[in-house]
Amino acid sequence: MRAFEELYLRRPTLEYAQAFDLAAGTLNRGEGPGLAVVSSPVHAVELLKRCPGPVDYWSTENFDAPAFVAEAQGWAWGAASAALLNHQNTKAYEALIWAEPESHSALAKAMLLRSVAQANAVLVVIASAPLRRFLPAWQIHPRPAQDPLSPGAVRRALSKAGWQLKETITFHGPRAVAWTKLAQLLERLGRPDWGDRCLFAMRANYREPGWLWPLAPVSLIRARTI
Amino acid sequence: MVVAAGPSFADPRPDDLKLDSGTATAVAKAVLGLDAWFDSMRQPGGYGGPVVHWWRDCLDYTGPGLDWRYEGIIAGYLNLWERSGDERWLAKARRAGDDLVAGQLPLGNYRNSEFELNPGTCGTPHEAACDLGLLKLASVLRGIAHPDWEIYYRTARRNIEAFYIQRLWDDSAQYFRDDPRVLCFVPNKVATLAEALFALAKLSGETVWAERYALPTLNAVLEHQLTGGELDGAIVQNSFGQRKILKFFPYYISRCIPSLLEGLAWNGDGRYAEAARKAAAFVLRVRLADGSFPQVVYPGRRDNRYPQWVAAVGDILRALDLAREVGVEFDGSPSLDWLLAGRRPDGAFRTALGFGRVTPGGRLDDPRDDLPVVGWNDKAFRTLTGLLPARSGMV
Repeated sequence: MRAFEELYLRRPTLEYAQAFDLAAGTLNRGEGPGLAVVSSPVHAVELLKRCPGPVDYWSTENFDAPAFVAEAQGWAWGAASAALLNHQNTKAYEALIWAEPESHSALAKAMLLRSVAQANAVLVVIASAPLRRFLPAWQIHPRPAQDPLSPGAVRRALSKAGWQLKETITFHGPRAVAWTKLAQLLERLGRPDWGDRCLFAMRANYREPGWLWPLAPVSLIRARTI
Repeated sequence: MVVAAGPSFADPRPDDLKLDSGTATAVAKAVLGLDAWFDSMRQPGGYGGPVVHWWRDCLDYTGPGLDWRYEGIIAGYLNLWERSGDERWLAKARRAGDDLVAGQLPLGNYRNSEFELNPGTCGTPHEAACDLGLLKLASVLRGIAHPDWEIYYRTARRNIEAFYIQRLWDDSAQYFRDDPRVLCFVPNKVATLAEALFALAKLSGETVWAERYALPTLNAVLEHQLTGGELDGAIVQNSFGQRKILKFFPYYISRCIPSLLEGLAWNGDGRYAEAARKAAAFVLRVRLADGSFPQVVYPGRRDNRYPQWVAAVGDILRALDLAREVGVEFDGSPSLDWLLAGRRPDGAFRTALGFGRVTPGGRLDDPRDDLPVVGWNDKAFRTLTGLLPARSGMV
């Protein structure tokens, strides 16, 4: 099986699945093509699965957009194109997704994205915190990013670049962890019925407010052009 | 336009079924309401909408899902076509089949086939359920000498060969795994696949699909059925190697029954008849007085009653009706009444009762209860269309 096929068949964990569902929802609401900036093909395939409309993929340090688009033929749901972006770019986007900003280039990219965003455009950023190390996606190759920037630092970079922060959501925070641990304990104690109830509770408490980002592996930040 | 139906591939109407006129009218109304609602759920690429489930909900992604919803939709429309002869129903069955053909990925899987885990591919039993729908459609079309039957047949066959046989068949264990990397077996899921394999064997004339794959898989299902005690006849939810997960879902156990009866029809092995009879007896034993079923039963007379399925009870009723051929007797009317009482003003059926009551301190008015889901409503649709008498003019 080709590397691309393996990536496509890989099932993301719930944190990333929910983050990409929300992010793709924003992209799909836009009229024209959306812009996707990802640090790895691992995340690009998640957008392929979710976007029936056209999406432009931008090459980054560790992501070759033209090669990815070529491999995605037959797999992409909507039209996938490779975008070449710079400050002289004439195309303006209404919806933009940025998955796993890299530390060394985050501010420059945030400014570049600001320059290609329409008035009232929405930018959704998916960023991970140090607890990411527990996620399977970070234990195998290719990793989602080489030098990931934490959600707090992403928020600061976006503000500096002229983006207005609207909201931050974190996934799999402390309450979800606590319910999961309780469910596991109850299973071990011979009460799978109670354990299943706790897993339901875990799902009901899966999303937390943004300020809890240091205690959760993945966050989603929504911003607008000012 | 009315065309003559070919050899019957529609679901059999239960023998000696007698519905009072009020119920018969309610069934016909429900069928027409579901048809209209299904049309409203169409998007480019297929039937979409949110999903709520025991395992997980899919509320943010609401695009098309090429999953087990297509089994009931295709079978239901074929039921309508055979019972009425009206070609518009066949056209809708074909439209659904075309969604699957167009959504087949380069590796043979279907796009977004994971239902509550969508978007994603390789969904089990969902892709097998899609294959089953396609093979039913292909059988019907071949029966009327329509040349397009091969399109649906080839699509299903490709999925079965490239996904199930090449990636999930475990030759040493003699069953289909649920994941190529994990030694995991899920009886209800492989039961759906066995149904598809029997359908493929009949359509292709190649017995290998039944003899080499379906029957050994059913034998593995038998090994997951309990004998004796309060859980007699129950089938465990899944196993990891030798470790069996002792959770018993009446809904999923009922999903095993049709394939066991297919096995019985194939080779007359009485073990399959006995297993189907005992599984049905277990499901009926845990049925509640109002015709509903608990969600999951555990050893030690424990259960989680909620959420109690509504639309999905269609599948349970259909399986129990099929089990009458091996001597199961029961009064289906309480469960049919439970199902019909769940009809919404928009024509769809509500999903369940009690999603909020599972969670400690949960709410009584959880909106997921009333949310209609295509992949649950197809179960109601298939069963209700199967209750309609032929040429009655009701549809």
